[in-house]
Amino acid sequence: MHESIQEVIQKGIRPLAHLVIHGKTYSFSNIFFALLFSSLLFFLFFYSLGKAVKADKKNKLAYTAEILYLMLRHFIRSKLGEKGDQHIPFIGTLFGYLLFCNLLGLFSPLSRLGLHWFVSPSIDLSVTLGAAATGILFVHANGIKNKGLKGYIGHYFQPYWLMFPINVVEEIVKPLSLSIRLFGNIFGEHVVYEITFFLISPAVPVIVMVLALFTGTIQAYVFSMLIIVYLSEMIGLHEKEGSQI
Amino acid sequence: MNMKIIYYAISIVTAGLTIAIAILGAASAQGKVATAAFDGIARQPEAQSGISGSLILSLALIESLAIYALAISFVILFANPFSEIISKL
Repeated sequence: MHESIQEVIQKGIRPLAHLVIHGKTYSFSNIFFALLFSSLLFFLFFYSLGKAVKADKKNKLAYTAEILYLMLRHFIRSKLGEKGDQHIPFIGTLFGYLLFCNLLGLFSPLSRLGLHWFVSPSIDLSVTLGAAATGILFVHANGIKNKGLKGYIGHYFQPYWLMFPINVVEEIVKPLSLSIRLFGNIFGEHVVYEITFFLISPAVPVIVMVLALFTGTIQAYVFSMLIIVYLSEMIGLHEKEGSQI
Repeated sequence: MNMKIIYYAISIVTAGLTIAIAILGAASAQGKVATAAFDGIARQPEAQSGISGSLILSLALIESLAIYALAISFVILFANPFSEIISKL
């Protein structure tokens, strides 16, 4: 191997395909293909689960779907109560998709064999920013839907009108901290096993990958959990019913 | 040439110190959180499921502070913002 560590790490994102439209070149990075690939896996997995449930079969897939749904419902009800059932589709999609994105990084040894789309898309900040923006937009839309426009704007002046700038900064920082948390964790893991690959033998990163399995799952869990917490703050559930943690 | 070497040496040392100091704080905070959670579980074992959920959330929130420092040290190491100015000197 004649590449430096810096090259190894910067190779994580590279253009794979080029498209020329009207003389302008648009290049698609491997992150784009990794996103497509994880979307495909996500779609195939949940489509087969949904098909098994719809056909009312009593097989492994149907039971898996049932267990997953019950876990998700328990997770959301513990924060939002019975009212949270309407948010199960969005939160579940966000959690499942981020899980697939994060865990695709476990196959990143294959990217050294030339299959460059076997890399976690979360090592690109724009992907995690997109996920965070989607979640935060969902939270704000639900805030407007629940409180009305007047109540939503009033919520920025909540304890006292002087708090307005602090509240605005808080709302801006939320998506940034969400996205940087996810990006930093996954990119840190990526760098760690790229370096162990580069320096030691191919067998050693397996130990790191067990950790990466934990990190990927916990980060997806924390991401969706924080969206739920922001949602319960925005809807104002804890004032009425008191959220049971 | 001498300036460049000094600049990059300082950058590398700073990147190392950034992550070291951040992890010092984050580790002691995580230790406190875990101690409190296990005390709670030992006192009231039936509340384990509720406590462990909040435990993971608060551990992740503390860990994110260390991750911010990690991001900063990555910027210093791999995307140094002033390296162009330094290379012109």
